[in-house]
Amino acid sequence: MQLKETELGQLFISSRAIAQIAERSLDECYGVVGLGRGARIRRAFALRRRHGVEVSPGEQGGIELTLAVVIAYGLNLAEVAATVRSRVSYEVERVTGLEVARVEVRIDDVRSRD
Amino acid sequence: MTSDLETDSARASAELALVRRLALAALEALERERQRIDGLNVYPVPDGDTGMNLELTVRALLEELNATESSGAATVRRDFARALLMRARGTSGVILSQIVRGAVEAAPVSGPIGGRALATMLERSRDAAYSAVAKPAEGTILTLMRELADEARGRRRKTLALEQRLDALVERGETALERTREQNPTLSEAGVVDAGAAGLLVCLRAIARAVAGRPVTSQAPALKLVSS
Repeated sequence: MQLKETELGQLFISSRAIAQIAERSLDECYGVVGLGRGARIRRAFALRRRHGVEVSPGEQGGIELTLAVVIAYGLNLAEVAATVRSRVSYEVERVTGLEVARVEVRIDDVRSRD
Repeated sequence: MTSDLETDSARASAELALVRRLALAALEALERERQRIDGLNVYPVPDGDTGMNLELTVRALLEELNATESSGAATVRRDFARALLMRARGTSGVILSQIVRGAVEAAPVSGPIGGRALATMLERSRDAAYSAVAKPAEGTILTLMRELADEARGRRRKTLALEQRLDALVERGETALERTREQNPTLSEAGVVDAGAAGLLVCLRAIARAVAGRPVTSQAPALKLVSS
């Protein structure tokens, strides 16, 4: 559960909701053809995970996202990872108003879409 | 055998010279339009770098093309494909590199580019571009690419010179670009057309002018990129 202070009271946004927002934006990211399975299984009970997206509190405030993705074969992975990072953090910040302190992009696999 | 190699080598250097000329035309056009394209960049992330990314991508391509020795058509195409992969910048640059890769792979090994060849090239460009995204949004560079492929397919059997075909593509592209304004709510709100699509059209127009032997520098009429 992530907390945001507003003038009229506190706003709680669940990690699940944040993960959903991140996942939707991942679907439209160029180069991403699928979501990975998420790595940190041992933390699965502590934190909400939705497919390839893991949400955790940032060490110095804000939230941290870990995105596990499958990238299209034949693309420059570093370039795709950079654009995924910027697009997803922009979208999550825009929709939730929370600060995204860090985005880890993990490429689980590389494959053709068809 | 020797003569085959020589023919291949001559063909490769002719092909290379042509691709260099077209890439240079596209680069010069992007240099001129870069700031306007950057200004349109409100989607997906309003970071105003689409024009810059496209320009850097095309410049890198041209550098690779200039460094390539024409030892054979296959080698040139392979080097070119690698350059496209390694030096694309940003989402628009990555998509542009897919578009170029598709067209280069489908280009006829020899002979002029007729209606069918052009349609096949653009369809391969479209397929390469669409192959790397799970849920393509409408009103982007991808939409424009799809419309260009449709246009080329529709005219493939007509007897037309390549210049006329390219002019028709530019015209279709202008209509499609204008439509992106209504296809994406973020663009409608900002009253702009899509930056990546605008960049692709700038490249296409420059290539059409270069093929027709018209001066690339006087790109009139100016695009109505931003609604007043």
